[in-house]
Amino acid sequence: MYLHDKAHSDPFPNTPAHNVFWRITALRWPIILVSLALIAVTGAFVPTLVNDTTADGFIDPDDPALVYRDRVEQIFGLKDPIVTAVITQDENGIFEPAALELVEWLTDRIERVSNVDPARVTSLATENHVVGTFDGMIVEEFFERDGDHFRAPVHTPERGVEIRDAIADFPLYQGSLVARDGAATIIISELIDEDGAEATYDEIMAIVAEAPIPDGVELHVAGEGAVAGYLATYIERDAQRLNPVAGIVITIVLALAFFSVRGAMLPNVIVLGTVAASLGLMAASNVSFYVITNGLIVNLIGIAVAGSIHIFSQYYEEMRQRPDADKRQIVVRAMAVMWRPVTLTTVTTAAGFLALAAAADMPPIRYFGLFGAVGIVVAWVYSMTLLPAAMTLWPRKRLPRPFRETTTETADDLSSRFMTGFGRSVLARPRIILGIAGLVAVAGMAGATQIIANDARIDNFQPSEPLYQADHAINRVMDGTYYLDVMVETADREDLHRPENLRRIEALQAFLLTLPHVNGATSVVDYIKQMHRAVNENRIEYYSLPDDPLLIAQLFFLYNASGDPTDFQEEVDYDYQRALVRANVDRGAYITNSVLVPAVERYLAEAFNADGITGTVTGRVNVDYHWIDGIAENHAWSVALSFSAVLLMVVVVFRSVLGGVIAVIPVGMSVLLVYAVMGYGGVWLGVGTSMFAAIAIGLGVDFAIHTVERIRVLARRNGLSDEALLKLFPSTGRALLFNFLAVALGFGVLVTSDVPPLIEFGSLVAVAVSTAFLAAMTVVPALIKLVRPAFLSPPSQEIDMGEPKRAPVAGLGLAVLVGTGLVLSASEAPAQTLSGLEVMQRVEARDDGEHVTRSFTLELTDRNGSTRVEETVGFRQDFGDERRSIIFYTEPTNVRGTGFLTFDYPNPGVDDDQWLYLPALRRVRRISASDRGDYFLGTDFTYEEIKQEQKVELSDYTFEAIGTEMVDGVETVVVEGIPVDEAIADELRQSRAVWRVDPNIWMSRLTDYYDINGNHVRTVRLERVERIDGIDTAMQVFVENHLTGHSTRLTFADVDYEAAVDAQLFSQARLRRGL
Amino acid sequence: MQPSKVIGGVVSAATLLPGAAGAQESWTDRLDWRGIVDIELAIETDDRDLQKWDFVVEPEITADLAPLGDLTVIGRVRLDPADELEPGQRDTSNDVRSPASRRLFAGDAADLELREFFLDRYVDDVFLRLGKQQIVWGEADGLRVLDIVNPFDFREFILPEFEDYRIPLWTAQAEVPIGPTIAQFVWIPDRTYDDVPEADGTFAFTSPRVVPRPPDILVGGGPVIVEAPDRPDTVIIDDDYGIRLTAFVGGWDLSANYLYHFQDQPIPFRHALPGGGVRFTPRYERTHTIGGTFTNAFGDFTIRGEAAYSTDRFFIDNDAASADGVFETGEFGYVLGLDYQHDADLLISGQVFQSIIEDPPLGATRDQVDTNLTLLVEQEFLNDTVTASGLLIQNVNDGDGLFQAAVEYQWRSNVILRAGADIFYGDEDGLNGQFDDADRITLGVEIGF
Repeated sequence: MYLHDKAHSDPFPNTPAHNVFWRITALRWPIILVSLALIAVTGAFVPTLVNDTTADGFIDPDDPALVYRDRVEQIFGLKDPIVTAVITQDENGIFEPAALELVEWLTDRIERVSNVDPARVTSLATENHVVGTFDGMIVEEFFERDGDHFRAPVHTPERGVEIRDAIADFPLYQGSLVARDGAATIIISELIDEDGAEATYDEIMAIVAEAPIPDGVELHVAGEGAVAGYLATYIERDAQRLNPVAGIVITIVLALAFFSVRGAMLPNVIVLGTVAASLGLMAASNVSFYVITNGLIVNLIGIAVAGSIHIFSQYYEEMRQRPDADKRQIVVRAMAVMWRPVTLTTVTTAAGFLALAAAADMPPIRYFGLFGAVGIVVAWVYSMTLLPAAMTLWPRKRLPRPFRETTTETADDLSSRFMTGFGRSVLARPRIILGIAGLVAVAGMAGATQIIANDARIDNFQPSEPLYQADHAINRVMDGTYYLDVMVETADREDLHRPENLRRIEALQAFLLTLPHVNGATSVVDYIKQMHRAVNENRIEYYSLPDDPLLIAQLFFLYNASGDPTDFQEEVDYDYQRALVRANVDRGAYITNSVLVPAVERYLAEAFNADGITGTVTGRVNVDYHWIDGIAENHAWSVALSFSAVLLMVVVVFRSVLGGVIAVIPVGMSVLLVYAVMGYGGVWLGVGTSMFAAIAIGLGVDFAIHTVERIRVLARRNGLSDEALLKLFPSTGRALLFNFLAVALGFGVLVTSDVPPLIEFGSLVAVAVSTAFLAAMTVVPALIKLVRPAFLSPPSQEIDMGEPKRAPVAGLGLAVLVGTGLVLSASEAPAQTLSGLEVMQRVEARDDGEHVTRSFTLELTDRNGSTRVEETVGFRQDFGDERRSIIFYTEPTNVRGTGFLTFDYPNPGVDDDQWLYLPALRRVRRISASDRGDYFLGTDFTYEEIKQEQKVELSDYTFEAIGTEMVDGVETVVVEGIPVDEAIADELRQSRAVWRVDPNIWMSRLTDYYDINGNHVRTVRLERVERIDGIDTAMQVFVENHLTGHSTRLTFADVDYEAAVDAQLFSQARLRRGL
Repeated sequence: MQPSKVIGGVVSAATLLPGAAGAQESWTDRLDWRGIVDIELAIETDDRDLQKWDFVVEPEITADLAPLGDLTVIGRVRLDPADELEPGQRDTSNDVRSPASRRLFAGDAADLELREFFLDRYVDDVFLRLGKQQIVWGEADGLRVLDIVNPFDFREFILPEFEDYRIPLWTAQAEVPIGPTIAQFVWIPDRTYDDVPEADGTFAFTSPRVVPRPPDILVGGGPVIVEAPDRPDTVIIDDDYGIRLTAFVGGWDLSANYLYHFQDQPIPFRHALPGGGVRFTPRYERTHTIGGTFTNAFGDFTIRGEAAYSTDRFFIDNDAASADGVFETGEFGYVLGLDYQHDADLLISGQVFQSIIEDPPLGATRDQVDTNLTLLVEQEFLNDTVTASGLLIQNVNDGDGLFQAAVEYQWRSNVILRAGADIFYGDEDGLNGQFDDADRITLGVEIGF
């Protein structure tokens, strides 16, 4: 489009926002290159992300429960186990020779797995029986080849019977090693390095796969080590599937929204940058990739495109309104309108994520919130820079179909029509809508009271997963694979030989067995009892604690004589000072743990602890209890924080408490509705689900902000009428619809996840976002229609806090108008005999000598009156059509020696060659020919003016003589020049120039320049002219920049057109040598 | 503004022009003097210690000695009470500088130096510059491929302006126009080499790239003796010679360069002592360097490049099996740079520098290909009175680098206020990383008079 037309018909706005985006689009190449580089750099970190799927990952490393548990594990050498269970349907149970052989085979193979500690593999094939003999007791392996107690050959039915009898005689193993009904036994293998669980689990699964399994026997692999190990693979597999699906879904939404490749592709670049930045920063900060981090990526995919959707919608709206306008102007206009709501929604969404981070105790949730916020901010940065930069480059095409002008008043695409119809229904029944909203709120509050805080690690897997099934199968037949431990500490060495201490432990075990889901409890006491019985001819009545500490010591001594002294290392320490009491729990859910842990703690405090002996709850059950314990409280805090932050922001933005309240109602409703779903649907408040609310608040409020903002604009323009409110629906409503679809479907993709917490999280956010969208489109307009809040009333005076201050702009506009008016009134003077071009041809043809030598002084004055003075010496010479000039700075000392050499070629299409000599580098530096409209070395003259010396490049403008005007007592011809095309306008940074040419000397005495936006930027005044050597010479020129308040006065002296100039002077060598 | 100086400047320019009659001026008109006072404070960020407190006065006198020529004299008086960069009295017994280029030391903290002293004269078309001067070759910023004519003073490593840490040498140069080219002939009888801080200086070198670390197996509890470098001392024969041809062809600035010179760092030849211990006998070695440069501008972009091949370069080899602890190789180095200038106020400049040698031996302390990247972003504000810049120099091989940020404000015509930060990072064995502890912020004021 021709700029001249724009200046008169539809002036390009001159707000700071327009200026900022004008500059941003000018820097498009650097922005694109820097952005791509940033994406590459941040993306390069992503592969270094480390998975952390361990249960400990969920708890703060400094949490006392974890620290104590680690200490206990160190003392007793415990590690997370992988449990392999052999379950048989045979009536003889696992005592069938084939099953026992399988146990031995598996034990042997598992002991050889690289990350398994062979000394810490526990199974029937490794454990000992303790039995009395006539002279004491013997400790003998169940699978002993040539035993004293086990006499039958191994893998025979007879040995099976022997083992069954031995187990029946040894309560310690019942339920913990062998199922109480004999239908199953387990092989417990502890890992050397828990970080290698993934590979170890795979190896054990491979062993299981090739195991010779007899008919009727099932093998299951479970346990914390297995969970951690398999979860890593599971999550990775899930991520590989989910993220592309989310990307594809979003792209489809975008394609539907815009019917445009640009609209579908560019937001995806933003997504790429956002995800790369978030995950890259996570990796760079050494933050692990947790189970729930998977959800973060999908979140970011949905959120990152939201800004783009609004910007693109506005872009196409602008394009429709100005079909001929320049693409860059349209982009800038769209950005100037959308930056504010997009920024606002970014801030609110980030606030939601940050609230989550602030309120969370669990590192995965904290990092989810933190890096989610980082991603949102990054998405905003890219949306504000990369997106407009890329949009200006993308080839312009015809307007996509949904945005095309139609013959009817409303746009004709399906979504716009749908939204308009929807709007009519809403505005027709505001009371009914508010009534439904009230019901939802009440139901939500009631539902909230029904929500149960619970989580279970095993529920990270689908019920169809073998691991899930293994967990349930093993816990059904065995006493339980979840351990609640109590560490007993006594004052002195060998205090655990003292019967009174052992009795306390015995009582504690008995107490543990009374608790729900506790099916077994073991401790060193069981061994002592077994040994006591063994040395008393295996008589059952001696299955008790001896009263004599010396006897107890002797029992251990006897055991060590035939067994391995390390057999007790998991139950008692080497000094017999500390012991571990372990309860087997068959369920690993918080809801169970929250009963067990406090009950045991209470028992220990009231009935166990005494002088010289204390017990402390520890173990996996305790750790799990502690990390989930705060979840309800954290959730409440995150909701309160994000809600308050969002409310505060909206109140500030709309400068109205009522406005703020109206804007947060949709999110309040969405959260309440989700509570209702959770409460009545039996959805636990767990790790995944607890995150939904803060995020839903941050995301959901966006819809209301866009709605209220749009209503505000419409109301100010047209009053708060139904008609005005209806306009909300086809425009903003349509953009919001696609925004909603992108976000809701993005989260909805999580429903296809294989990780149940992510499914729940995704579904809840999708429900919340849908509710927020619906409420924003229904409750907000209905409420506004009924309440008619004052902040939306049309103002008596234009105060638009969102828009930049109008006053200076209006002032400038006025100045332009007055200036134009003056020019126009001048045109009423007698008609000119010369056309504008003819006048300027004479200016161009004016003699300015073939060469010249002169010095000149630059006085640079800023708006505060502070002045710098620079002295230079300059030479110029024509070489045919080519003009060369060289300038040397002589003052001040700091810049002395700086030189500037230019070769100016006659063909305007050929760039000048320019060199700068900087004394600090002692080097001539080739510099790109500056845009001719750039300012020359800090002055207010452009390079073009310095070069042209009061002349004008004729091919740059179309000229029009528009009258005459008196300047400094001289009648001048007023010529207006408009750049011939956009490229020249861009180069000169001008939309218009007005010269007042003195026909006596063919120089402009007063020149005004208007920038690309039509602002009057500079005035150049010729202050003194002298005739030297027969040539009219400008001796003093003053230029003032009206935008910056800076001015430059250029004063020439010692002008000499006659003295010859050495042609060699115009060389880099001379530039370097200086004067 | 001082009119007399303006006239002086114009006059001295006019003297260069055929037919100008400068001889009629009085002596006072033919003599021009000025100078700069520069005060700069550097504070280390690690321990907040004062790293430097330079008070520098650089007086400059130019005199029109027609018909002899124009004389330029630049001196430097420096006082640094912090005395951390070159602590204590300088041992000048075996100075790397030739006697004619040495500094004069006054106590621990002050030194005086004749920086430049040269006479410019034209003999027909031939330009002669005789005396102590700086000669700068190459197109790269901050990286040395062809900028090797003058040695450097590493008192503050590479942090100061090039002008300030290049050591001017007594040199005779002649520039002879030959058709469209200019041939520059250089003869440097001044045998001065790189000036590296002693071991107690803040910027003393420790990187194994430049400081040999004798293997334990050779030292074996014995002494490590470092002898004084063997300096070239034969007149004429041991001088440096160079020639450069420059031309402007079809928009391209081109140059071809050749320098026959001594490598500016002594080569630490290693000898195992019988019975354990090591003796280093450093020696300067001759090198032929041949190369060229190019530069051109396209729209807002300027591309720059230079490349050179040097023979007989030596690098450290810490392998015990190495005969003398160094290895000899040819070295090819090049720099490619791309500048982007926007609105005349914003400059973004990136450079790639690679030095390539023959396959290095096992104990070599550098890789066969050594890569450095630089990125400079410089933005001017408020009619060029404020300049903010950030320069990143990143070594790819060692992962170390240097980031320099600076803001300059021209408060008055002749007063510039500066603030900056110099941040080294990365592997302490790297050339930049070795100064990881020397990160600093600087404040300075420069007053012209």
